[in-house]
This record gives sequence, C-alpha cells and structure tokens, in this order.
Amino acid sequence: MRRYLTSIVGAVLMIALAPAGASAQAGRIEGTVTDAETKEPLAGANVVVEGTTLRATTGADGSYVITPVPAGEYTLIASMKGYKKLTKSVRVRPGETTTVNFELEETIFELEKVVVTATRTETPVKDLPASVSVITEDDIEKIHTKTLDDVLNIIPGVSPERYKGFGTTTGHMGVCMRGTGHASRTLVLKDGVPLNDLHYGTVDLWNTLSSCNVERIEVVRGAASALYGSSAMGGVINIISRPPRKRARAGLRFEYGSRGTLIASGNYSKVFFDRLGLSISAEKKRSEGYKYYEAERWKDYYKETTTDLLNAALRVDWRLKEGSILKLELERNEEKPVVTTSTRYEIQNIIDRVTLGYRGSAGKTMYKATAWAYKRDASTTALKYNKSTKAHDKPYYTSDIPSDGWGFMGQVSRTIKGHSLTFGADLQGAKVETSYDYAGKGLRFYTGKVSLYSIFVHDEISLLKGKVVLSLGARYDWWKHTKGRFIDETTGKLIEIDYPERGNSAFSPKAGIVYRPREEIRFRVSFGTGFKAPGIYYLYRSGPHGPRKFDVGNPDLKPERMTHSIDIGFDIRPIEELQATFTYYNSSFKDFIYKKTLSEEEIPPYFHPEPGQEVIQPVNVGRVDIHGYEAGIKVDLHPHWSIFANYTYNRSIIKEHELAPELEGKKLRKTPEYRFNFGLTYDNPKLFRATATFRNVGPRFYDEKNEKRLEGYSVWDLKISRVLFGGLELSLSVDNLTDEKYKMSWYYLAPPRTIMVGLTYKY
Amino acid sequence: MKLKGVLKPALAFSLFLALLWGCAEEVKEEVEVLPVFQYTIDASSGEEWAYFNFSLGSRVTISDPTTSTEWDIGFQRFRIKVNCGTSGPGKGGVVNMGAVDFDSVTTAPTEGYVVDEMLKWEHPGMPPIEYSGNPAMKDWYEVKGGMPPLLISKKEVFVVRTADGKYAKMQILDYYDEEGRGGFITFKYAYQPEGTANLRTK
Repeated sequence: MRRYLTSIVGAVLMIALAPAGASAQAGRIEGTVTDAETKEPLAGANVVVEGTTLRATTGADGSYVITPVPAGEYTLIASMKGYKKLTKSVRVRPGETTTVNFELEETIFELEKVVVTATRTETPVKDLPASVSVITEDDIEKIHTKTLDDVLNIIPGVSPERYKGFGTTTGHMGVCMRGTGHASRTLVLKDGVPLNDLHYGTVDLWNTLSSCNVERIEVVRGAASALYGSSAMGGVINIISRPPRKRARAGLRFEYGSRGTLIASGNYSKVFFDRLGLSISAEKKRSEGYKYYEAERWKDYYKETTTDLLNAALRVDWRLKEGSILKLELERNEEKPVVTTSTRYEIQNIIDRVTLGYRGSAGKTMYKATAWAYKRDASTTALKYNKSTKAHDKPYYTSDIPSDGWGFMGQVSRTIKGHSLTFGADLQGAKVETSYDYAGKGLRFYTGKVSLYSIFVHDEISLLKGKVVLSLGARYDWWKHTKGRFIDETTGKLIEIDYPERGNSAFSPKAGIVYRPREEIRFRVSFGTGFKAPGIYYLYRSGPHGPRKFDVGNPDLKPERMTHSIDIGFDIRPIEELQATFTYYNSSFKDFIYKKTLSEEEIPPYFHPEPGQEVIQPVNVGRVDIHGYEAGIKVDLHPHWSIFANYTYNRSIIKEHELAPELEGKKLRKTPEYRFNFGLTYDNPKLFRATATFRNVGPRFYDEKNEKRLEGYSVWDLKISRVLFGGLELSLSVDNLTDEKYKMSWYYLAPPRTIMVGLTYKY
Repeated sequence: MKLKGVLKPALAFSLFLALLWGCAEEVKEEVEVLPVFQYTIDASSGEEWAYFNFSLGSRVTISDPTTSTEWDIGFQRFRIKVNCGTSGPGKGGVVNMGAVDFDSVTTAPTEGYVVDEMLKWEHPGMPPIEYSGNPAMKDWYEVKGGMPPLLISKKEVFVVRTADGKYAKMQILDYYDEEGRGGFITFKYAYQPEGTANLRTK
C-alpha cells in the first residue's frame, strides 16, 4: 500500500515536473537470458513482469527488451521449457535502462525435461503420451560406464545383453526392450541417425561408442515405427551428442584395473568467433579378458578373449545466420578381438561414419536435414587347433564382410493454430558383400542390397490450455531387396545363383493422449505399431553355419509386424523430492523369423550341404503376445542422498506357431520375467561421491523349447570418486562387487569382479 | 514165352521213367528263382551322382553319363535317374508296380516303361533348377515331419529295364545309414541276366 502511494506521488511529481513527452516517465528493462552451465544464449525464453501484461521473448542472441515500464519495483520471471523458472527483483527508474540478466538452470525433473526422440522435435516430456526415460551426463558419470549399455542397465523396460564383458563380439551383445527378445527389434539412434544396420538389423557399435561427448540418452518405450520405421518395435534409444559450445570443454580420462583392463580418453570442444564450433575426441579401451568357461571345461590351450577398441571423432559446426547450424561429423570405430578356444578367431571390425546435418528456421517453420553414410569392414581369420604342433596353425577359413550404408532424413515442422505439425521423408540403403575363403577349397559368398523409402507425418494438438495433448502420426515405408546372389566355388564347379528381386511395405499409425490435471501429475495412454524389415543376412545368406548346420537364405521373407503396442500409465511428483512412474503395456507381434529345418526336397539342389548338416532357412511364423508393467521411483534426500528403484515385470509368450505347435505357450527366449534395479548415491563434494547399484534379473530360457533355463542373478556395482583439486578427480570402481558367478548366455560365464582405479580431469 | 511177361512191366517202367523225366524237366523250368541282393550306395554328395550297374552288382564310376552304357541307375541324394531318355543313351525305363510284396512281382511288364526327362525343382521365392531324372521314381518317399524331417520309403517295387535292355526289380529300403546320415540308400534287387522277363525270387 505504501509503495503504491509512493508511486502515485512520484508519478504526479514526474508529470508535474517532467518535460513534454510521456516516455520520460517510464523506464526500460533489458538483458540476456543464458544457460547457466554452457553460457549459451537462450532464444525463445519468456521474461514477464509479474502482475502486469509487460513481457518479452528473447531473440536468437538471448536478448530481450521490455519498454516502456512505469518506474517502480517489480519482480521479473524468466522461463523457458526445459529450465527452472528464475525470478529477480528490479527497480525501474524513470528514463533509465535497467539491465537484468538471467542464467537459467536446466531442470532435473523428468517431466520438465525436453526430449526430441518421442516426436522428432523438441518436446517437453510432460506433453508426451509415451513412457520415456532420460539418462543424463551425470548418470553416466555416477556409475562406472565402460560401454554405453552399462548405463542402460538401470532403466526400466530395457534389457542390455552382453555375454562376455569387453570381449563380447557382435552377435553376442545388444539391447532389447519391452520383452521383444532380440536386439533387432529395438532401434538405436545417434543424434537421430539409425545405428541398426540393414544386414542383421542389430547394432554392432556398443563396444566402441564412446561416452565422451554424450549429453544425454533418451529412451522411448513402445513401438515407434510411426516416426522411425524399421526396428522400432520394442522402443527407441537415442544417444544425443553434446555440441560444441561457447564455453570450452576439455576432458581426460585414464582408468586401469583387473585383467589389464584399460580405458583412456580425451576430448575437447569449443565454439570459436561465435561461428565455428569444433569438437574432437578419442577413446581407447583394452582388456586381456577372463576365463568364461567353468574350470573343467577350460582346456589348457584355450586363451582369454583379448580386445583392443578405438573410437575417434571429429565434429565441425558452422553457425549460420538466424540460428541455423550446419554440422559435419566424422567417426572411426575399430574393434580387434581375438577369441581362442578350439578355433582361434582373429577378428577386425572397422566402422567409419560420416554425418552431415542442417537445422534452421524461417519464421515459425523449422527445418532439419541429415545425410549420413557408413563403411563397415569385418574380417576374420579362423585357425583350428593342431594337436601335434600344439598350436592354432591349421587354416580353417578367412572371411571378409564389407558393408556400406547410407541415408537421408528431412523434416519440416510448424505450429499452426494449436497444431504442432511435422512432415518428413527418410531414405536408407545398404549393400553387403560377404565372402568366406575355405582353406584349400575356395570361395563361397553372398551379396545383396536393400533400399528403404518412407514418408511420415506427426501432429500434436494442445487442448484445454495445454492440459490435454493429443498426438497423432503415421508413416508409410516401402523397400526392395535386389542383387541377391550366392556364389560357390568350393565344389570345383562354379555355382552362381541370382535371387529374384522382392519388395514390401508397411503402414504404421500411432495415437496418444496425455492429460495433466495439475503440474505434478500426468496420465498417459499411447497406441503404436511397429515392424522390422528382413535383413540381408536372412534374405540371402547361404553356406555352412558351424560344423553341423547349413543356412539357406529366403528372399521371400516378409517383415515382422507389431500389430499393436499399448501403454497406459502415469507420472507423479507429489513433492519436489519424489518422482514416481507406473506403466502397464500390452503388445503383440507376428510373422517373426523362425529358423525352419528343411526337408530334403525343400533344399535347393544348387546348395551343397555336407552329409549330416541340418539345412535351415528363416521363415515368417506365428505370433507372440507380450504384456507387463514398469514401476519406478526417485527420491532426493537433501542435501547429499538420492535413491532410485525400478521394477519391470514382463511376459512374452509364443501364442501361435504354425510350424512347431509344441512351442505354443512357451516363453520367448531370453526374456526374463522381472528385472529389479536399485541405486543409492551419496554426494558430498567436500568428502566424496559414491553410487552403489543393485540389479536382480529373473530366470529366463535360452532356447525356444524352454528346456535350457538360465538362473536369475544379482549384481552389485560400486563407484566412489573424490575431487582432488581443480578439475581432477580420483575414482575407484568395483563391478560385480560380490564376484557373483552368473551367466548371460548358456555357454559363457559373465565377467567376475572387476576393480578399476581412474583419474579424470574436466575443464 | 518168358519175354512177353517182361515186356509189359518194362514198358510200364519206361513210361513211368519218361513221365518222371518230363515232370522233372518241367519242374526245373518252373523253379528258376533269382537271388536277391541288398546294396547300400553312398549318394550323399550334394553335387555328384552315384551310378550303379545291376550285372556287376556294384557302384561304377562314370565320367560322362550321357554317353555311357556302363551304368543302369544313378542316385544323387533322393533324386534317381535311369539310363534312358535325357539321362543317357541306354535302353532303360521304369515301371512302378506299387507298394506290393517284393516277391509278388514275378514277371517284367511288356510295356508302360517311363523314360527319363528333365524334371524341375521349384520352391517359392528360390530360383528353380532342372535336372534329368526318372518321373516314375521321383516320389519314392514320404516326408515324415519332425526336426529334421525324415524321408521314409513307400516301399514301392520298381521294375527297371537296364541300359542293355535286360530287367531287374528293386525296392528302396532306407535313406539313412546307421548313424542317421541321409543319402546312403539301401535297396534290395534281383537281376535277370538272361534277358528274359522272369523276375521270380521265390
């Protein structure tokens, strides 16, 4: 009241004493809004003068101006989605400009976070009908992250599988979601670019993908082919890189421990002259391996699997006018494992990737385009053990699998009358040539090409003043497989088979609704569909598969189809320190790939299996029904403690199987009935930071007949770190603290206790 | 006076002897029985054909089957060809007598011999391929489901005309060896070396 009177008196005096011109009575507020961590300007942030209609929105450079503002004292509120609101008091003097700058902190509450994976545009989680988890940089540092799948272990609904620790070769590791049973049914992206190849449909970069420069990992559960097409059946995982920023960042990491395990990395990034951003990183990992069979089975000429991993990346950003950015990324991944049992395999996998991206806007329309390509070369030399020379010197075969892939993604987004619309098109292609040279017998190989084309549309409609958000979308994919060939020289007579050209298509719709009666609670229902196009391996691969099997390709394979994927759930934050989430899901997929044993007359006469070899061809069969629920809770006990816990229950049952009816009613292989995660962190910068995580995975079956049962297991991991001085931190990590003996595969023991000591420097 | 008494029994005895002789001759002709042999041929190669010669009673190595008359029947896993038609220059042919008792086939038929022609292997999606084979022997098996599916012989008896026009009868017994490996065909047969149509084995 008193202030009000003072203002009136002041105003009257001003009017009485001021020269002509009303503006002299008012003042002006201006300033910039920036990100507290990166110091980058925040465009589109709102600054409001509380209690008035005076407001402004920041421009591309983060600056704002509010004028004219009658003299007085006010409260300014700066807000931006993804950041915590900040308020500051300001006194406006007549005729003067007062500068108020805001440094906003990124929000830590799940619902407020902004993710790009669920809609292909930046959308706050609170507006999404999907079940989403976001892994932050801090999460990656809190636990001992050796490979990125380590951190995916603590997320509900996600089942990373890694049979032999660091030395796990492709085909024996992958990430599976929502009980879908195979890594090819989960899509993994890096900055929106698919990492799943079109050869097997899986991701073979888990060993080498570096955790340097990972800003966050977004996990969206449930079928999402309406946005991303093939492989998005169980869910989508998007690894988002940290772009170079004005504030320079540098890091060094050196860790060494059990069995010669070594992790060393360095990274640097900065934006120069406000225009050119540069980011470089390199990471090397090495291990001497462990004995992965029980002692009785480990023969004296077996050796632990050793591996040598390298990741090197370079990124250049050009900041063009009006907030547009053009980026170029180059990445090399190298993996050199050596596996030695009765056969010694010397393997070398090199994957080079290049990505060119553009994002910009023209008025209210946003554009995004990405072109990418990869070149992969996997080569193996296999030698059999020779009992007389006691060495692995009997040449068995050498194989070379070069495969190239490329793609283009483009999209346009615009908000029109409460609709957030996005249209886009994706193209993708891959070519594989595989050749196996059998010592003394000659060459046998298969080749093939796949091209995929698609268009999609997505709409988000905000209703009831944002309390209800309706999501609708659809995508149409079509593809063709061409140039499938099989060539065999090993019989002395050249055999050349040309497979017929085939194509197929899929239509994937989606719909969802979110209802947010209050800020603290969100109810969501989501419906989606998914599919997986058959990979070149299943279409065309022919030849021996180990000593007892012979594969025959099937160019007529249809896609696996997830006919429905429904999610119902809620998220609540009753008090600031507590977040809880619950989701029930139900899905079904059909026409899954099953390896059928061919009868004699079904075996094409131009293939020549050895007598006694079982001839197998992949075919589409049956239907799997999946249901389950995910429940999670996060608690912050200020100032030092935080806890998280989550439980996932899942049942995946083979409901129909035309070729093997005895499998009906059986559980889909490798899908545990439950997964429980618990984590406790104590963070006191004056002392140390320690995170202990506990994981309990239920029993599962390794085979379709449900005869090979893998026992459930529990693992404790611990990481303790302490800042020494400056940016230097010392850490001690113990994986599998209790040295639990368990198996992730029927054949191999999982890694025993691993202790590593590390030193990291961060600027 | 005494001679007259001997003549009657002597005549009777001669007649008796003559009758006996005649009967014996007839019985000898009716009782021509062929020996039955059993043979297992290794036709397990995915590529090479294995050839058999009935008069030798064993496998023979043939460099060019389309010009040689040294072979009568050829096997390549479950596929069978006979020396005639598109398979070779011989006078071969096959009549399928049905799934009857092996010994009940006593005579080779005079006509109805099926000659080799180009047969097609087809499967949806896969490129088809042709091979020369005998249509009458193409479906000698039944597929019994399971993992892996097994080929079970229908136990049909085939009368096979050899490359030089003689006759044999055969019956396929098993496709698998003692270790369960496919392509080791065991069959029983009887061969008529005289060139007649008599195939009696009992």
